[in-house]
Amino acid sequence: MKFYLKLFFPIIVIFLVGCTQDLLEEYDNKPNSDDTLEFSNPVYFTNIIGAEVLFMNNTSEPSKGGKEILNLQASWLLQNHDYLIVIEGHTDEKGTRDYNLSLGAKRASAIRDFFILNGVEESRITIVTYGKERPESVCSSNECYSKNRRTITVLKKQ
Amino acid sequence: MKFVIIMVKYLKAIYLVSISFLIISSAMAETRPLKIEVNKGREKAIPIAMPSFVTGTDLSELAENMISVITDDLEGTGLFLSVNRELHNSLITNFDSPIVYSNWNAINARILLTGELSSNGTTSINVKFRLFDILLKKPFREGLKFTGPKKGWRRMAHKIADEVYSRVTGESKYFDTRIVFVAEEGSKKYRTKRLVLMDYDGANQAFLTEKTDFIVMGPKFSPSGTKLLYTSYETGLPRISILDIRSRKKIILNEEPKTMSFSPIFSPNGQDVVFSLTSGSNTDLYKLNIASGSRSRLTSSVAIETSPSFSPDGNRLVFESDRSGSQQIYIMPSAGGHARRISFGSGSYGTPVWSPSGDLIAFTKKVDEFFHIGVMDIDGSNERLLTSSFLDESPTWAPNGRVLMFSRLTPGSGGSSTLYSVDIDGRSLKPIRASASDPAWSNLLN
Repeated sequence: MKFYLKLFFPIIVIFLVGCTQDLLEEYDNKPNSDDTLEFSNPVYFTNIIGAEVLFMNNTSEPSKGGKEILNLQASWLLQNHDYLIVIEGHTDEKGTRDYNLSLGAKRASAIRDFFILNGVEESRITIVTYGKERPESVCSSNECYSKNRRTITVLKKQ
Repeated sequence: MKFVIIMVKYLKAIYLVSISFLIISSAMAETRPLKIEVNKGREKAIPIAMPSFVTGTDLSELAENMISVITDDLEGTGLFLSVNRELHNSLITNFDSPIVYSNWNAINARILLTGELSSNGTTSINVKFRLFDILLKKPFREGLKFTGPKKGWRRMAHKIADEVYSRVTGESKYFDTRIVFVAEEGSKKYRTKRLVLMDYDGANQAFLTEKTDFIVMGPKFSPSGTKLLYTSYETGLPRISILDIRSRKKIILNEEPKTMSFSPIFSPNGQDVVFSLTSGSNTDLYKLNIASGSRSRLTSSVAIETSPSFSPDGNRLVFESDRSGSQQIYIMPSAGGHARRISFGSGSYGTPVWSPSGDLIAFTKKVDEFFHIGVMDIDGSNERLLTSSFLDESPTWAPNGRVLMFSRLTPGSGGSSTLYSVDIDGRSLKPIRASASDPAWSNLLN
């Protein structure tokens, strides 16, 4: 499995990076261009791939775009064993506090399970739920809520 | 009319206040006590006259402050209306002088509260009071006397208001109580949270945790009111913590690796904690014995199970679960076992809280993007929604079961959370404390 991942990894990355054109355009506006970034650079993970995975309302099912980012995150983690990760689970504000804590945990856990299934060592992964306590976007509209239904994969150098 | 002192009874010292009370009996027996039927609606609040207490000039300001607290307590229920002092045509200059009922009847007062405030040494005060039924021209049961430190005057005022409220309505007291809640500062995105203790009416606020960057939420009183359970991110993960209010000593419970714990409550005997624990992708209810540390699992569904609340006798638990596909309310034995769903209306239900008398469940309901605080019978019947807003949640019962307090969040980036209280008939909705969430009401203080 690992052999095939390594074999096809460059092709997968080219294909999926092409799918995340918006992320690349956003990155191109920043001082460093992707030409100067090594794949193994954690900034590549957070800025090119993206640390956030979005979810559908009231589920632990990643959105379509979220699944694409998730695949890229898993691939990056498989190539960069020096990093531990903390997966933060978040929700929008339209729910009760206890339920949203549980839902955030369920989302973070779903991402952890995906990583483990794809070969990332379980010992590298910690999850934490913040429920609705740390929103990314604070207006009260469906557009904002969709940005807050998310997990964030935070890298920590071992 | 003469009254004879028949009994003296001292109350236990609690907190910084030491209060004793003396029961003064009436020579005339009450035959038809005035009763407000709390459940039968209130077309008109009952007029109560509260003339100045008999006192010396050195304590006159304190006496007026006490009457102000009593007035706020009673009028805040929506059941009483203080008769304007300008209408009073009779002064009370001697606490033991006979009451001229006709003077109070002429201004349509239905109840009269008289009092006397005096010094008891340099730091202590005595307050005596009597209640009169103006139409029946009789004292309203016995008078009372409280003795306590001067700095505890607000509690003495709450105790007087409690006596008036319970005698007239027949309901249990609830003014001499406290609220613990989470004070919030900053925008929704960068909010700091601290535990705060206050009197039920918002006075005497005291921070219990420091202003730090970790989150605290969901405080709950122990049955004796001396300890708190809450959820804290002090270790980086949500963990249940127990805090001794007086010493401020705290202990983090259940630090099992790779788990998170939250939503804790005390059992009615104070010996156990029931809480939500997330392990793997599953959130279930567990019971932890505080003394022994032994833990048992109460639910094992592959669903989210949280927000537990004990029945007053400790035999059952009400909680929320999405095992049916949406958040609904269930009841099961407190040792675990078969859970019976009780909520079947439209929308989703969460945060169930068993009433002190055991006959009602308060809850949060979400339907059509609006949130409501409501109550239902414990079999799920007779659902009544008391509030409606962008986001109401976290109801807590007053110890007499007549009033609920809850959090209300306003929308948008500048939105904030405020504590409100509401009667269980949906009336007397009023804000209690801005920038606050997750209220929990104590039992009546001793």
